[in-house]
Amino acid sequence: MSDHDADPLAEVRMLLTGAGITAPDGDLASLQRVLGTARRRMERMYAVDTGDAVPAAVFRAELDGEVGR
Amino acid sequence: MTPWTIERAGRAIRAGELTSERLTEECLAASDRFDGTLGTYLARFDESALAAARQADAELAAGNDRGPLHGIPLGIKDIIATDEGPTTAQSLVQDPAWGDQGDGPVISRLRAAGAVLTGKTTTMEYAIGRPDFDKPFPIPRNPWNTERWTGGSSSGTANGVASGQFVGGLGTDTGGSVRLPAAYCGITGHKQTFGLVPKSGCIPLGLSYDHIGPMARTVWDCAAMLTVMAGADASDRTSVDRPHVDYVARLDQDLPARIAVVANPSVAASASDSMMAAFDDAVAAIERAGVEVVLLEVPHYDELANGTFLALQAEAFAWHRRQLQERWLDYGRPTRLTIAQGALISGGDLIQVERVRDIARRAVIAAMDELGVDLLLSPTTGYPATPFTGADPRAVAMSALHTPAWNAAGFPALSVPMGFDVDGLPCGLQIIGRPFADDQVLSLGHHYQQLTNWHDAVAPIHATSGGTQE
Repeated sequence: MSDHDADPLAEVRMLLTGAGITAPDGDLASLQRVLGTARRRMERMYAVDTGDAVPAAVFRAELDGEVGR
Repeated sequence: MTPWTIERAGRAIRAGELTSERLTEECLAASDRFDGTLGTYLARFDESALAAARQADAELAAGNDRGPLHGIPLGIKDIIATDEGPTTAQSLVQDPAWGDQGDGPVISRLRAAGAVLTGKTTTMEYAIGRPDFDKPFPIPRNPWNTERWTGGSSSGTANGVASGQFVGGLGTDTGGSVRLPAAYCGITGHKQTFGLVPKSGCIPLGLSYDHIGPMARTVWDCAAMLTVMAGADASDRTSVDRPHVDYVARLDQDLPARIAVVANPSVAASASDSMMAAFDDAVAAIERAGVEVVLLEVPHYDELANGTFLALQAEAFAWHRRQLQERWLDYGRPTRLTIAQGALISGGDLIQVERVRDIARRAVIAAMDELGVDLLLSPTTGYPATPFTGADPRAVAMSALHTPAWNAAGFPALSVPMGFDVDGLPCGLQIIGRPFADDQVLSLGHHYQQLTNWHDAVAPIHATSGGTQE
């Protein structure tokens, strides 16, 4: 377990600071409260057997101006 | 009095009983009366709307009929750019110059079809969050009960249609933002198959989950709008080239032999008793019309919904990051806290969300194949419109859980009025179909509106002068 796992507020602050965002303490506290929910939601996604599924990508190699088919 | 619909107004205009100018004047008069109370508009285009209406009348008089939308007043959600004015996204942050790009393809198509654009309608800031009383923008209120929310985020379009301030309009839907306000306000709204309608010219929320969808009183009206809106455009690389479909012409196709009710435990668990009672009545009405109704536990249903929330936050964060760095406090608190959750999701997490999205989409299609059904039913929301203050937190949290799975799947999903709860608030029936089977979805909704008259119910705040005797 990392220090951040033990201190979700520190983790939220680190993630936002790392993104160049300075948020007031009240907002950080609110985000701290939803962090656990977000993590649980994410764990449910990893529980799905996705095998070697490839994520859909908007990227297409053809030139702009052509539309999908 | 029956409120104008696109269908009925079009008939009256062609019969010489109504002009586009008179219809537009009626709509503008309704806005004079109700906009202040309902918070429908961020910008009104009265002058250009009346000019467009007069032009529509002149063209019809000259024998140039552009089709069902000719001369019909429409409201446009203010995250979609139009030539007439700035696009604010109901935010202090949005650069007004963004809207200088003018009409995107959907607006151009509606305009070419003769539609009259009456103005830009209210939303939640950047199409996300909750009503924000701390910012200097109108609060959209529900014409069925002004102490209740309209649902979001296509709020002004929904309450404007429901109150007769325009006859149809555009919303956008990333997790339910067409269907939720349609259900809350007692109107019809369609989130079409992802890619069917190009969304360039619209401020993105979740780039790969966003849709621009039609909202109106009836399925016929939404079908008429979708017929004009659909079709690939090179400016949106997620749009898909498909054969043109006249969705109105497909409305009268035979009812399906069999459909399925979404029977996942989370549906009933996140809905009120009176919502489920209205839903049961709606299903029974369809059953009485000769359709066999079976149950389907949709594979990965909850994961599809989860994935929509997670991915839209990540995608929104990518789009807003620079502005969040510079103008954090200029965002509304609900908005910034929702978008900032995208920073809590790793790159690997997002890839996994997209992998689940693909697996789940395939699994749902396989389950529908196995059961022999093309259409699914569920309530649109778990609860009706929630109050601005003192709302049951469960109702707020649960209401939005029935729609987002279909954004992740990309399937078409329609909301039609299906009655009222114990407090007299509208309830919505959601009809879901296979990818690009929008015609089947709309057709079942249309049949349902022939079997019931919930879509004719008129909100307490409505322009009663804006209709005809039937």
